[in-house]
Amino acid sequence: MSGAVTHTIGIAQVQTASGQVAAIEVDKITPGAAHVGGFSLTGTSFAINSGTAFLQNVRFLLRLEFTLTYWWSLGFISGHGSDNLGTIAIPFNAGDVLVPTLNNISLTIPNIAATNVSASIAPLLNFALGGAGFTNLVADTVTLPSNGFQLGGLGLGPVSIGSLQVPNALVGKVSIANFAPTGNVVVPSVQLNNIQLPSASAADIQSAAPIAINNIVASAQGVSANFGIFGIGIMVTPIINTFIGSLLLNNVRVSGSVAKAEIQNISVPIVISGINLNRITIGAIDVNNITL
Amino acid sequence: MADLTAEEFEALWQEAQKGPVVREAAVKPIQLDMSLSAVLDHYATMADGFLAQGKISKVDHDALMAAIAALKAVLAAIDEKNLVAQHMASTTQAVQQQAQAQISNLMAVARR
Repeated sequence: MSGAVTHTIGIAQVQTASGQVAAIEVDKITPGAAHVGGFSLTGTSFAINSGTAFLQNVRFLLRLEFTLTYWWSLGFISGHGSDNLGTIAIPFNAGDVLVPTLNNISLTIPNIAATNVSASIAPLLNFALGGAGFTNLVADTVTLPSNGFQLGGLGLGPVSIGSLQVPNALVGKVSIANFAPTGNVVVPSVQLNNIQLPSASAADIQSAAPIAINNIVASAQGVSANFGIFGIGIMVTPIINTFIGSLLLNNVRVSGSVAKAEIQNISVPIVISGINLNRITIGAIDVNNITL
Repeated sequence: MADLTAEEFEALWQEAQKGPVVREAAVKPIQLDMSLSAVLDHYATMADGFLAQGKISKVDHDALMAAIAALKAVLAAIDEKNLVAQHMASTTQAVQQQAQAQISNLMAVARR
């Protein structure tokens, strides 16, 4: 054989036991719709503190319903009966009422649980994960170099090498355009303990409509009198109606805490785009069945 | 008892502010005939009962009925029923005015 001949090397399989990657860069991780198997809050408590309460235009209307019973007798002529005497309404105008201090309102919820919650996660961009190690990398059907190579003044017939061991190799860069794992990323459980919600001030709270305390009815009371030839009885039923123009709560503060928050079985499908593995160092390469 | 709406409360409130201190209850007046002829009629009925119960004799009962009839004849001649009705009306009016004056005095004392 004579002249320049271009050759390529076909490698059936490259195996390496271990190696190091100096830097891993990921352009974009796109999570799909996340599914949360369960969400629970344990020991949730809220406290609502109000400095003062201001009741504006407080009015009471006391209504007295009267019923009269009577009897009379002159011996040879007599009678009896009863009549509804109607209602007397007595107005009381209390004006504005200031309640200087109010007890705090504590709200304790032992457990809050939700199931089958969906969540959306925004894409994560430009990740640099630093270095990493890998093991048992296998590449099948490798041809080096792709454009062949030339050897001057050397003629070879068909050559077959059963196996070749290369002690050290350095690969400059490996890129993966797109990587979509078939399985979802599943996080079994995330637990947060002793979450203290900072105390927050709220604006003054004012009732949207007048407050009515309607028809408080007391038991009927009465008096009776016997004058010998006639007698009367008067029964009275008191009814109180209260109307408050508006209720204003001042200096309202809200604080709360959660003893434990737990998210169970978070399942997220992901697509990883633009993976760059830089400065890959492979400790030892085993090459099987090289043909020239 | 239905709850009051804000409008109903306001109407009651205004009415209570403007209404009179003493209100007249709407009741049915008792109609009572206190003329002597009417009293004699009731008395005759009562005497019939006494006779039936054996509390008075037939002779006494007859004498009583005769006297009642004679007196009623005189009363009818002077239009006694109308005279007594007029007297009762004026008397009742006077008593009523006295009672209202007492109520007014009580209210004045209560306001002090």
